[in-house]
Order: sequence, then C-alpha cells, then structure tokens
Amino acid sequence: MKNISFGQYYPADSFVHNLDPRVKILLMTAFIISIFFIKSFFGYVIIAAFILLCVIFSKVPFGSVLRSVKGILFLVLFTMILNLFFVREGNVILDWKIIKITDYGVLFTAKMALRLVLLVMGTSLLTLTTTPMSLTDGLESLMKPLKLIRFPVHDVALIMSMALRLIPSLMDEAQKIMNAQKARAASFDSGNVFQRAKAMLPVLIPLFISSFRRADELALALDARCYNATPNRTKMKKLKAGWRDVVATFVTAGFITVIMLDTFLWMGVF
Amino acid sequence: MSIIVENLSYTYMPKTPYEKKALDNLSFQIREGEYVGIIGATGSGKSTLVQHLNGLIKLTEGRISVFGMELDKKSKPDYKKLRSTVGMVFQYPEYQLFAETVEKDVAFGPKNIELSAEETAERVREAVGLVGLDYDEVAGRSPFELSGGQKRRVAIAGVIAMRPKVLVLDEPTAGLDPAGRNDMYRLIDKIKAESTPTVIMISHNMDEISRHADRILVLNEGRKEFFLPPAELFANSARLSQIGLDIPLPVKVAGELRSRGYDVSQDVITPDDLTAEIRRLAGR
Repeated sequence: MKNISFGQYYPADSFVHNLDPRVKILLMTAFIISIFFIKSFFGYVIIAAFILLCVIFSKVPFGSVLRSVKGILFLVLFTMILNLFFVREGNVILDWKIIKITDYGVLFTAKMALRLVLLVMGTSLLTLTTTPMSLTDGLESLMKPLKLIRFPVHDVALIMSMALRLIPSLMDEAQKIMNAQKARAASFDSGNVFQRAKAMLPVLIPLFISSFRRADELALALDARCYNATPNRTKMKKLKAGWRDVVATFVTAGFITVIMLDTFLWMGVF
Repeated sequence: MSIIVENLSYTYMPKTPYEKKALDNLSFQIREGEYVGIIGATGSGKSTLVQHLNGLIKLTEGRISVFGMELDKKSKPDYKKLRSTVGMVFQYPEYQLFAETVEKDVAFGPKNIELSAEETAERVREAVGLVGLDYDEVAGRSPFELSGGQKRRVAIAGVIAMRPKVLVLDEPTAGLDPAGRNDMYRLIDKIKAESTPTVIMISHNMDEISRHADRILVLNEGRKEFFLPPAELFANSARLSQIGLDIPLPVKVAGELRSRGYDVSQDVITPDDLTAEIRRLAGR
C-alpha cells in the first residue's frame, strides 16, 4: 500500500483518464439518472454498450471493472431472490407449494439485477480513472455556486483532501504497527471474534496516538505557512475542459437521448 | 551458520501497474555471534529482506534457514517460535508502545510466546535493566510519560525480553542526536555481549555502521553488491559512490592522502585510526 494506490485508481494514460474531473462527475451523474429511466431491455443494451465503450477508451482491464461488482454480488443476489418470489403480477410459470414465479417477475428481476450491476460498473469506472485528489478538486469546483449561500466550499474541500491524503498514510502506519506487534509474536487471526477484537488493541492504541500526532503536526504546518482559506486562492493544477470533454459530453448525451427516446417514444418497438 | 539465505527474490504487488522487484536473487550466510550491517540507498530492499527473516513477509522465491528453522514457499513455520528467535526492532519502535505500564508493554512479547507468569516477570526485569533503565523506577509508569530516548529503550526491551537468538534492528538511531546515537550503539554492544550474540543492523550511516559491524552487506536495487568486512569494502569506494552510498570521512581522507603519495594504511576506518596513521607518518 504505497504511493497513491488508495481506493481503486488504475493508473494509465487514456482518453477517459484525461477528462476533466468536473465533466466526468457531471456525466456520471447524468448516466446514473438515465439508468433509472430505462424500461426495456433495449435500453440496457444501449447502456451496456456505453460502458463497454468507456472501458475500452479508459485502458482499464475489464477484470478490474468486474471486480468492483464482486462487492455488491450479495446485494444483487438478495434483490434477485426477493423480486423473483414476491412479484405477483403476470402469468404464473412456476407454481410449487408456496413458491409462485411469474413471467413478469422473471423479467423484472433480470432488469433490476442489470440495473444494479451496470450502475456499479459505471460509477467504479469513475473512481478507477480519477485520482482521489482530482475528484476532490472537481467536486470543489462544482460546489462553487454554494458559496452564494455562504457554504464554506473551500474549507470542506480542504478537509476532504486532507482526509484522503491521510488515509494511505494511516494505512501504512497501521501496517507498520501490526508488523511490529507481530514481531513480538502477536497473532491477529486466531481465536473467536472477541479475542480477535482484543488482539487489535495493541495496534489501535498506537494508531490513535499517531493520528493525533499527525493531525497536530499538520495543523502546525498550516499555521506556520499562514494558511487560511481566503476566497481568492489560486490552484497549482488548474482544471481546464478541452476537446476531449466536448467529445465525451456529446457521446454521453447521444446515448442518453437514445435511452429517453426508447423510454418515452418507442416503447415496445424493440 | 545461523542464518542462510539462498536465491531470495521478492516482488511487491506482482501483476499490477504498481509491480516492483524489491529483492533479486539474494544469497548470503551469517555466522552466530556476527555483527552484520546492512546498508543501501532508499528502496534497495533492506527492510524487505529483514522482514523475510521472521516471516513477516511470506517467502515467494528462494529459501531461508534461521537457526535450523527452514522457510520456503511451502513451509508453514511455527511463527511464535520464529519471531521469538529473530527479535526485530523496527524504525521508531517507540510508536509501537501501547500498554498502560512499561512492565505490561515489555511483557507483551513473552506473554505471546506463552511463558509462565514468573518467567515473564523475570525476563521483563532483566530486559528493562539491560537497556539501562531503572526497573523499580519505570516499571509502574506509563510508557507515554517517558522521554523519547527512554521510550525507544522500552520498545527494545520489549523485543529482547523474548530472548531472541538474533537481534535485527532497522535504523535504531534514526531521529537521535549524535550523543543519543552513540548511546544507542553502546547499548547494542551491551545487548550483544550479554544477551543476543548475533546482531543485524540496517543503517543509512556508513560512518557509524563501519565502526561497529564485522561485515557489511551492501544492497543495490535488491541485489547483493558486496558482503565484506569494512576495511575490504572501502577498497571499492568508487563503486560505492556510484550506487549512491557515502564512504566514511576518515576513509576518504586516507584515500586523498594516498593519492598524494603518502603511505597510509588500507585499514583506516575510524577517526582514531586516521590520527594514528598521520602521527606515524609525521614521525611522532
């Protein structure tokens, strides 16, 4: 766990990686909303094609994208089972004791599962291709209008980026302390749940102390540099939308238009 | 031979974009009673190497034998025995302290290897005394009340209380002032003489390590560059500076004198050696 390998960022130099994070966040939001409009399988085919296109242009191996689905596999299966057994509309195709499965239920289940899987694949593509830092930068820029209602956008962004910055350091530190205690013959993987929780104390106590120390040092360093969140701070890396962002916006808009047409105009044509 | 390492290789995060070869076909042997220094630039694999010795990193390629315990890809060693045999003191060990009293913290290791209460108490008393702290004074105090130097001594006591056969130290002098560094080296000499005869020490400071170690293992990008006694090592000073390592100042001065035609001995390592040679040459 070194460098910036926190989260699931996959380093590469690709079309999707080089998009402006603000544009990526906005397009992702549009993508999520459009998924909820889909009614037909044709719509899902369109969205799947869209994701496939994104994956190809992001140079992220398809396996890495699929791995993100693994985390919600249980949720998908759970909703599938619920939907399959409890949807009562439509023609019954299986009737055995208390189990009743309808044709409509089967279709509905498939659509729900597809929706969840595609949703997670799409959003994980965002975190796979954007570093946590540029995500924060993008969010800060997008939240700018909130300044009008005196929302401390800059402070929130600073807190977010510091938290993101500290997570890998603390993970590193935790690993070091664990190793040090293991070197004193501690074992963290034997015994029941309570014994294991208790075995973590020699790691958690030093970790707490060191995170307080780090926070204190960081605060002092900020003070020593006379840091304050003045409204007109400039950025080292200025976000700039370019031709890629225009292309990506048009492509995404095209796909979403097809989905909307499918839902509201062509219903049942395909 | 107390420690035998054969064809050891290790790669961090293989098959990812972060893949990095940390150790590359490393082989060497360490005798019982030896004081071995390990030196190398940042990222040369020093820490990765020593963490293999007590099984903190699972061996993936090669073979290691530690005091008769065999480690290879398939072996499932008795980790408690292995880790009490190879006592390891990490960098800034004071950050691992956690217990409410010094006594309990030092007893953590002995308790983990399931020693009896009496045995544990005896070893804790002995270890705290060995690192130069007054047992009666500090035993009941919280380790967090102690000074930085005392904390580090408590942490070292926590390792030697397991009575390891070899002591591995990762930069034990990091962050100390010159006086503190000298104290630390003296402490390690004392531990070596009285409790743990074999010592392996990672260091960044060629000056200091060459004054104490019997042999120095020089790592460069995960490969063994040299494993020689200090005097022979500095015959290769050109190569050492090429891989980003300093040579001790007295050795440098002796080399300069030699290149100007003075007959200075090759064995000069410490400042005292150098003064003696200059006195000899000056005829005093």
